[in-house]
Amino acid sequence: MIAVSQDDMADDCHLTNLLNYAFQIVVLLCGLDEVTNIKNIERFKKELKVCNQLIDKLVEPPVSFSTLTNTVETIASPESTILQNFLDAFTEAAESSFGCLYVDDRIVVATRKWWSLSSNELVLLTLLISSLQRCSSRDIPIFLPDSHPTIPHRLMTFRLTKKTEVCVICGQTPSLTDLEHEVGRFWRPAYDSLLSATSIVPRNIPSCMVLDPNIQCFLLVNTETSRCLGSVYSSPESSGPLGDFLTVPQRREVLSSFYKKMVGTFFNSVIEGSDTGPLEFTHQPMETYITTDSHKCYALQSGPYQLYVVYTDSIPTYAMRSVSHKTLSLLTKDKNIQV
Amino acid sequence: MAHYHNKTPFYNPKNDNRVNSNPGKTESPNQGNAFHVGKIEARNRDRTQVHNNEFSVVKSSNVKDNWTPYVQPQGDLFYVKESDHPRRPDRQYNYTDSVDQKEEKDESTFFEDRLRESPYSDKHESQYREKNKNTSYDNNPSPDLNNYYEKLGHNKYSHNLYRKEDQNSSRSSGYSDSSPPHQELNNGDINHNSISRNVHTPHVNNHGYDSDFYDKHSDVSVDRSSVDSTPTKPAKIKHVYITPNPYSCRNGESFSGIALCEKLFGITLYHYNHKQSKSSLETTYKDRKLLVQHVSLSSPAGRSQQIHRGDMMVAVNDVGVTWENLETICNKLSSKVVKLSFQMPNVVGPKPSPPPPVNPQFAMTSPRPVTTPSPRPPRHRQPGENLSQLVFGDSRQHHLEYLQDTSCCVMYLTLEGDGSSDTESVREDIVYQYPPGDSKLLEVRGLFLTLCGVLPEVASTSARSSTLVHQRQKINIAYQRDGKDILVIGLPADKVPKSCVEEILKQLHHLILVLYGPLHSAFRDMKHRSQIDQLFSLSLHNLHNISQSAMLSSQSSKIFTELIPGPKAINFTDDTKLLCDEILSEFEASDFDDFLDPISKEARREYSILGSCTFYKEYLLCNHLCQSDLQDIHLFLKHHCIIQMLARKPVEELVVWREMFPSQYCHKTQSCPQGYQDPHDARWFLLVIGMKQFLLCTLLEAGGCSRAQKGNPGPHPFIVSQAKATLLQFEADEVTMTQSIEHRLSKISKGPCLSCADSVITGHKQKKDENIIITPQKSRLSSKNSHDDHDIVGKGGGSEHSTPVMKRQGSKLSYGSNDSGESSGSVGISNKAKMTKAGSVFDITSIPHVVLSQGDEISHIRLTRGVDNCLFHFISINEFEGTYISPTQQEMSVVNGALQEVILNHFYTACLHIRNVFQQSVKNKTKQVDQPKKYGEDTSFTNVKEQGVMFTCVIPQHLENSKKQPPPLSLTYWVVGRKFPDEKEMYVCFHESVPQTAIEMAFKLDTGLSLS
Repeated sequence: MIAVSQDDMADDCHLTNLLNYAFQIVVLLCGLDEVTNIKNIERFKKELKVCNQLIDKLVEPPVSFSTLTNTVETIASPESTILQNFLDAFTEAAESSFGCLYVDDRIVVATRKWWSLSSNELVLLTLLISSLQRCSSRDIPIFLPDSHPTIPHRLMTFRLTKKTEVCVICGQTPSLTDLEHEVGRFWRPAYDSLLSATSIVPRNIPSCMVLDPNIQCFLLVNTETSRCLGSVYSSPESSGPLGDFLTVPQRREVLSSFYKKMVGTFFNSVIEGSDTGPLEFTHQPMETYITTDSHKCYALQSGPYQLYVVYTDSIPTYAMRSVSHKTLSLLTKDKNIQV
Repeated sequence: MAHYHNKTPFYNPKNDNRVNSNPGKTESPNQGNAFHVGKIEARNRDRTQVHNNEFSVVKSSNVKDNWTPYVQPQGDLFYVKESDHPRRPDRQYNYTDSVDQKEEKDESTFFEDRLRESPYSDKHESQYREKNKNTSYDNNPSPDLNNYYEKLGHNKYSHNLYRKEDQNSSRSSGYSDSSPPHQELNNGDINHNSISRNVHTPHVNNHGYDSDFYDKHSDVSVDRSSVDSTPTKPAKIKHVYITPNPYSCRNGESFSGIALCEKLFGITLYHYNHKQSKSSLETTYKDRKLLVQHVSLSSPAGRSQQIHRGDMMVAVNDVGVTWENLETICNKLSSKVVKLSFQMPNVVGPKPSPPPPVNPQFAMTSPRPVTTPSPRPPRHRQPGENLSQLVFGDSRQHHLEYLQDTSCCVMYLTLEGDGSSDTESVREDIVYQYPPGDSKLLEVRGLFLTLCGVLPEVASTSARSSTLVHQRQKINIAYQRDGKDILVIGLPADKVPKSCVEEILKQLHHLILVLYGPLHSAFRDMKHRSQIDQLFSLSLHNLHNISQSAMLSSQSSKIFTELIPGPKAINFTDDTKLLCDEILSEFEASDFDDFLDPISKEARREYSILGSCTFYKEYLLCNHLCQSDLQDIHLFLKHHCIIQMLARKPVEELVVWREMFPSQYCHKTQSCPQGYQDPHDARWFLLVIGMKQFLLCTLLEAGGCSRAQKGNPGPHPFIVSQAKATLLQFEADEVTMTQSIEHRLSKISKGPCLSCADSVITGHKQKKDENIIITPQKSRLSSKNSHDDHDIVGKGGGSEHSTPVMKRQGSKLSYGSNDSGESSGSVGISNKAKMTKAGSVFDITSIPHVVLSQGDEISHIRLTRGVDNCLFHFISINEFEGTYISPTQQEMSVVNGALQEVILNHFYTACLHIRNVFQQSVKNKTKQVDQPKKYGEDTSFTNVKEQGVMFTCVIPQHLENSKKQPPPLSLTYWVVGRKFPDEKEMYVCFHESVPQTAIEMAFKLDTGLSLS
């Protein structure tokens, strides 16, 4: 497989990561057997068409943080415990142990077994679900690239509200129609919780949590659990008294490119191959920052956590460090945040 | 001062007793009866010296230290003995006596043997023989000398890409083809034999360049009777065709024969003392010979470059000329071409040892020859070899082997050519390769060709670099495409990081453009080959050496500094700077009227000096060139390892002469503004003179307001001698530059003081400098923002005057007279800081001599606040001036330590990354932001101002005999790079002592500007 991209001065590991995902998408949808034993090229090409849409999602902007960081995006909802109960019950009814509840393509809650999937798989499933058209329910055969690349599973998704979706991975039973009937029964009482969970989107953090007004967007990555929490809406879009803010697409772009610059050269992360750069240093880089005339970025890592923050230009450079540390502690200590 | 000799009543060859003088004997200037001199021209004693083979005279100098071992006082004059290399035995003129035939035979065979050895001999020999048919002189080994130099594979000429050698056009235009040089003459009687006899004759023959830059004249016919063994040989006659200059004698006066000759041709003949006894007048008058004493440079005779001192004029237009009829003959001359016949002197004496085999363009001698001890006969060497050996102490063989092992390679491939390659040699596409021989990279060159050829069609961009893995070894390749040709360089990745390979190729490409013009002519033209070989050999060798450095930190530091396109500068006191400026300005003013003879004075100037710069060791001392010229010259010096060599050991004398095409004149990317335009057809030359550890680089222009040079001119001896004189001025009494520079370098406190990481870790405080005084600066620029409590620490050591003086000065300083066009506040503060530091020195020097010594002190700069100094290292790059500043070796050695090494290594590695980000952000500025973004396209960081990385180092502590281990020590430090809007960058490494103030230090970084 060959990837061609513009030179963004980032470490090569990011491009390799992309290639890896592209391959795994193919495996996800077509199965490893098909890929390794291509009997008929033409037929294979037709089969590959299924993957096109997903691969497009991989490279087209806006690039999601999950593929960027190789961690799955989550959301910090205060109702996660309640929703967890509902999800567990529903998953059991579906005779499976893999279940997950998505709000706006981010995981709110998921069963334990779901979390045990590899980070690649988690990300791919998220990507898949976000790439498909909206429908109330669907049943797709998938191959789990890391755990069971040759055995097809059924992925069933049900749309609960406008933005929420519940997914289960099952075997042969139950059928889609059967499970569809169960959905209403299990999830109707959870409607309010779902709504409140939906309300924190797109900010992705509980509204009671107040961050520094200079923060434009941030990304918190947990390298151990392969989860991340990103928010590009931490501050309003319009220009505030403290200086001009970037637009949302710009923020996303800045955060992504900042991440790419740091990981691979100074930080190492979940991304494969990202540790070759930092290995040049016998002393570990812990924090780093870049300032430009339109924004300032700060990145720090502490333990398993890495935090990447984009500030406005008006924050004094020396203050970034303390603010970032505070933000990190705020985010990690909150019980709602499951990163 | 030229030492002219005792006058003898008349010249009689029979009385010539020089024939049997002993070779090797040092002749004092008062011995010998050579030509007697009737007239001694007044020479200007003051300024410079005359270089002789062995003796030079400096003005009566009291400088004992540097010069004592070389100086030999005689009376009230001092004679400086030059080099230690094998002394040439004395050789003398003799017109009639025999020549030692055997020795010459040996000589010629000696040279011919060498010719055969040379790899280029086949090709060039035949060419040379053809050309040389008419011009070789029998007993003169110099044609072989010429040949010899050519066999060395490099050119005798500085390259001329724009004008072909026009062999036949030189009759009246001035430059004719070569005549082989005369022998050097070692006796004290006769000074140099070469062209000009004025005071500033350079020390020609030690370098040998003199002999190589003569073009050949095909019209000179010589009696080429072969060497025979008879004791008396027929004299050699040469005929020179020159056009006399009639204008100088048109005033209607009648001149005497000698004066006429001088005016017409520019040949000064020896005058004879007329006070003879009348009886013998008749006979002696007839016997008197017409000997050339001096040839004016800018006269027709001088331009022919064939008439030399010591020649005897025998005929004019085939009419025998004597002392008597000289006048009549000269008066009858019309202004057509005149044929003058001269008899060449025979040279007697033992054969000279050939000058040290050096590249004539890199002719230099070293007081301690590294490889060749003098008694050994010099062996035939390749051009680059000597230089490499002198610089690196490494043999060429070893170097070549290394290059092939690690697959370093430079190739110039071409995309042209027909597709079929079965019958033709497969190597057609390789126009040039270095090192010679096979390598893996050569075999896969098809890959490079395809990439570079196809990619522009497919992606509308050109290939820049790629990485290969071969036998587990990563190799970084960089490309530079030039039309249909590609320049490829491959370097191992563990020695040179990828981003550096591109930069190195860019620099080499730039250098080749500057030296030879367009790439295709540089590589396709065979005559440049050897020079380019040498360039690549030295450059790759340099890279190799970098990677062999013992310490990792010096490795990464050298890689980083390789990428900076400029020399290292150092901050001196203003006194020193002023002196340097003065000396250079004097040289550049080209006010040489005092030293020129009248004819030269009226002629148009040969070269005009555009600018010059001086280096001491590896530091840039003073620069009067514009930034692009300085960059060109610095690239040249760096890639030919001259700077590296100078940093390690002093050279006795180094002369380099090259034609170059400076980028601002020849490779301009922008159109020049209206108004004055640089001359289109001018030629530019680089002259580099090195002496001891000083280096003077001058950029000369020929054309425009100075005379246009045709052909391949050699270094103008006059300018060379002036340049040498300038360099010597640095060593003069009042200047004593070396001392003050060494003083500055050894004074560690002159730069921002560094702290040692090891001592921070161990808690061992550095000994406090008791003399540091902190003078809080009153804020003068209240309009500027927050940095008004700037600390500049004044060093109070040495004298009690300093303390009160500093404080007084602090309140008197006036700001604002400097440029106030700074946009950002931080830079404006640097302005203030600059004024502060400079202001104190200025004010001090206005107070006469009492505190003059204080004027040498630069304030002890401290960049950090707080009690402890937490600065580990810094480097400040000024792209506007093209220089950079970083702590000197001495300063670094004070704070050396194991941990410090690691920290420095991280510093430079991080600086590499940061600099990449800066450069990328500059590129991003030019990209369009409006277009929809594709994957990977990253324009979000367009104007990066600052980047910092914080490192943590955890050192576990182990205490013996304790049950509980103490917690490990940790040291955190920042590496911060800041880019200033006026093309300056600064990288610092400091310890994070207290969280808050450490980052605030980032604001104080602009004080680093006060360093430059």
